[in-house]
Amino acid sequence: MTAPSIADREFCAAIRGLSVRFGDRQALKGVDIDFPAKRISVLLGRSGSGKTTLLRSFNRLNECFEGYEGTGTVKLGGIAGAPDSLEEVNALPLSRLRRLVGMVFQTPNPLPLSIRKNLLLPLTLVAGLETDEAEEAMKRSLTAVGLWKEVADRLDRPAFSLSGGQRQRLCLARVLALEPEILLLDEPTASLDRLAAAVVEDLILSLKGRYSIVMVSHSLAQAGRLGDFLAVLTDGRVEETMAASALPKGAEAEKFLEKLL
Amino acid sequence: MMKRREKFLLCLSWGSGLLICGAVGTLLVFLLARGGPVFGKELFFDSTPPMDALLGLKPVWNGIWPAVMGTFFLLSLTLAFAALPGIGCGVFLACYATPKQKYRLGLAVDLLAGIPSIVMGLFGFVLIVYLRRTVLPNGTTCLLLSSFCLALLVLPSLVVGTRTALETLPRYISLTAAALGFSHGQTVWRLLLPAAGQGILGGLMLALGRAAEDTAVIMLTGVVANAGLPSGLTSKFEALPFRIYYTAAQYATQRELDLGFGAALALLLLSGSLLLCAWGFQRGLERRWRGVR
Repeated sequence: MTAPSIADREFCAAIRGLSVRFGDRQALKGVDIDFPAKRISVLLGRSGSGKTTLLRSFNRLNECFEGYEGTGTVKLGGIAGAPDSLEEVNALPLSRLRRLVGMVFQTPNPLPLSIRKNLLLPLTLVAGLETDEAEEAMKRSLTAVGLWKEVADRLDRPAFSLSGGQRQRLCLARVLALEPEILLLDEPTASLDRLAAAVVEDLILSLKGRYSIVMVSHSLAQAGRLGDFLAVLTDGRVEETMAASALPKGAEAEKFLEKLL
Repeated sequence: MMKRREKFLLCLSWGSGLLICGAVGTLLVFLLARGGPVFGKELFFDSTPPMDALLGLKPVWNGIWPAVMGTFFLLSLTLAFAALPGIGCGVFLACYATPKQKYRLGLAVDLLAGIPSIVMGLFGFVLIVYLRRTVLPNGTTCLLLSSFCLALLVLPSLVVGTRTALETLPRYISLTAAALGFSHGQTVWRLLLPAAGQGILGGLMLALGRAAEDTAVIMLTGVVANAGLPSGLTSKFEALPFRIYYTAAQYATQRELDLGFGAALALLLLSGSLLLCAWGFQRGLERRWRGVR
């Protein structure tokens, strides 16, 4: 097990002996891995290699799926106040954990509400803000994802009236508004066209340094563009971890990936 | 080969749709043709001045006004009895029950749905007889008893409607809510239930329709041919379906029969307008929930 070769040794997550199964299917088989804080970590691997399951173990979302059984520990850093504390995810109240560990899904998933209510409902229900505070937070996070100008005059329109890229940015804004420490991105650009994907990628880069980001990606090119730290999963195990700077460039890269997967 | 089968299925589905339209249309035309000409002041109030009848100053003897009001009160009471347990049970089955509870309670609901209305009427009758012998020596069949038994009769369509509406919602809604940190209760009450509103309303419509037309239950539990306006929850009452049934069995002249058709038309309009109210109410609620203007 190679530790992340990053000078900053502060971790946002330390995972030990994590095994997860759903019914008969063993999704993760004893995963040990640390993720650096305030960096972008990218999980690579084939479909079914356990990337998404590993991601969902951060916010205990695996438990929402049928037949879930899990062993091992997931500890998250810097989310219980003190920056060097490590907190077991099972020890935190669920709604607090999920507020601190925000997640964006592969397919943009606005709720069937207006654009405004998509942001206000979690802010008032989960974060417990008053309506006017929540409106402020909504404006801030919509501005942060570059959506404010596009939707300012249509906040009361259904969220589904937005384009795919806009929806994904709305989902990101919804998560950012809750002021998370860790961001989980599950192939956030996979369902978008190239242009919209580029906008979202730029957005993710702009968040670097402020949040600890763990994302799943299918594309080595994307991992190279965004990632600081890479982990390759094969068949429910972590095959290799490396700093992004160690990644070969150009044509070499494809061969390298071919070999890894 | 595949093409022909597809064409056949297409014809079948179009045909079925047209059949429904045709059936509803024929029914409406027939009712309008027979009941339309007598539909007026006299059908409702006979010779009593309408204003006096509406204000309850003078009794209406031969008009259907008391039956209209009787049915209206009966339906309102039935809904009051059935709505909360019906929707609540549907929510429990869809969102809270363990698989074992789902199976057992689901079976109970199916059994209740299979009980014929005449049996439900007999149950009500036996119930009041039992109550008379024990705690309520003066108890008798009445509006309250009728609506209670009707509520039991329509409960399953509310339960099933609510449960189905909740269970067929896309999975991503509850998953998204969970990922955002909503508690299960918040997800159910603030997202799933409002999102299922349309389907729940469907169940409500079925229940209301069933309660509006049922004669067997009320015949054994409190309806009479002539009672005037219901004077209270524990009084006898008139109701439109029973009025229609009674006319069909006892009419002496052609005009009386036509008045029966008029009453049928009135029943249709009454339940139609109730459904319209429920629909408008649900739409208003849904718009507020979605926050869409």
